[in-house]
Amino acid sequence: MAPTRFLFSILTKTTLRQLDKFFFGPDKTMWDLVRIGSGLTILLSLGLLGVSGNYERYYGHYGMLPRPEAIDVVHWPAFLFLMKSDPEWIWRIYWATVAAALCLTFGLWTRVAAIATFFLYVATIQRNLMSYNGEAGVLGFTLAALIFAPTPQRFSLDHLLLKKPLPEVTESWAARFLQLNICLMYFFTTAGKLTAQWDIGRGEIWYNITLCDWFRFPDAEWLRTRWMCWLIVNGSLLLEGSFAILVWTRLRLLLVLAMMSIHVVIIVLFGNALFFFNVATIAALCGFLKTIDFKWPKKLGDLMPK
Amino acid sequence: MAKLNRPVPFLQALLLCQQWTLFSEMSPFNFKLQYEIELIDGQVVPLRDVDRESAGKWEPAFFYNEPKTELNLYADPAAQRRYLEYLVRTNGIYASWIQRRTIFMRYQNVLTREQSATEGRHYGSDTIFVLDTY
Repeated sequence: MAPTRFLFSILTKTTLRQLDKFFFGPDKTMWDLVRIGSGLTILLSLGLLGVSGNYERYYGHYGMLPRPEAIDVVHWPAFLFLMKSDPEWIWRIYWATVAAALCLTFGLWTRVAAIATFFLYVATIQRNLMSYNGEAGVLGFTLAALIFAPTPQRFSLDHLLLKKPLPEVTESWAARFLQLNICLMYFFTTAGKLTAQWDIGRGEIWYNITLCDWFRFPDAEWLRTRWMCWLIVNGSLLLEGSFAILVWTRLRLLLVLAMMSIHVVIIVLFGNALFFFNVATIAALCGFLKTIDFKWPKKLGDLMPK
Repeated sequence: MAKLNRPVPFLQALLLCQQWTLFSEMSPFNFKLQYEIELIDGQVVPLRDVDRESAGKWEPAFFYNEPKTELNLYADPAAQRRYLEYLVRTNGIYASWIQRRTIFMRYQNVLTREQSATEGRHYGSDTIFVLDTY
């Protein structure tokens, strides 16, 4: 065999082996955190929509998008809402979604609950896209990943109450789907910011953001000083932009915790409209955490990336 | 590349079609959409969202998604008209009483750092844009 052909053969085999390990190797993802975080996000937002009457305003037969007009403009999952002319029908869907999200949060019949929650949530958002917010995009792929995640999970009623044994053989592809989606999210967000108005140099866009009506502290002048603008814009771009690459290295844990911290800071600094998006993203970021990550370190050196 | 950019209705329907560049576009945050009707007797009536008003001090929590809904409405003129009709119904006004409907946007101008230092304030005067009238 010619040396180049031999080298090519070795390279192909190694790549295929690595890819096989990457997608089908054992899965140690902390699915419990992803599941509970996503379930709570849906439950809390549904609770607020239901209590306020906003659910009827968005999705009711006589709401912002009345049933006769909705038939012509919605995507097919929303037909669940339109199939009955009884105005009370939407409340049956509401309670079904609450029940499915509760089962998902507590890990009861987890896979069925994930399928039901995914479909009902998608149907709800599609019923009126005016209610679409960032969390809808994140929950879309997170719930889809949860459908295929290994079950039963450690902290679930399936395991603790129904005594179903934990799966002995697991595969990583559901986790990889979730992780790759998150990487794409940060990558495209950064690419968009770099090509749009987020100037890398001075970072004056942050000055404008601190004066927008979504910002909680418009009177805090120190938050818009020149050095703060430079630090926040370039720091967040650097972290978001490098995440998609560096998260696959030994810096994974530090990077994931840093991104979670950024999302917590956004929750603190910005109005309620961004709350659920950031909570949903933190839940999705838990998909990068492994069950072995938080074992008590034997010595201080174990905390550092190796 | 053009093929990659084609819409995939199946994925869009299931919310699996990512559109993350939306987050990176600077949205015109400092604006309010306002809806107004002129009745056949010439009276001009600003429309109120009674659901939001009835929430009182709990409005920021109960209607947490409202700033994003405003952005979604801003991007969709057909949805603006549908929302106006919703407000007409919930304000107890019959469609036959209405002569003209107007949707406008009140935009609060933000001064640049240099302008702000000169004028001693961050915000300029409001600008009103008529988005739709019919």
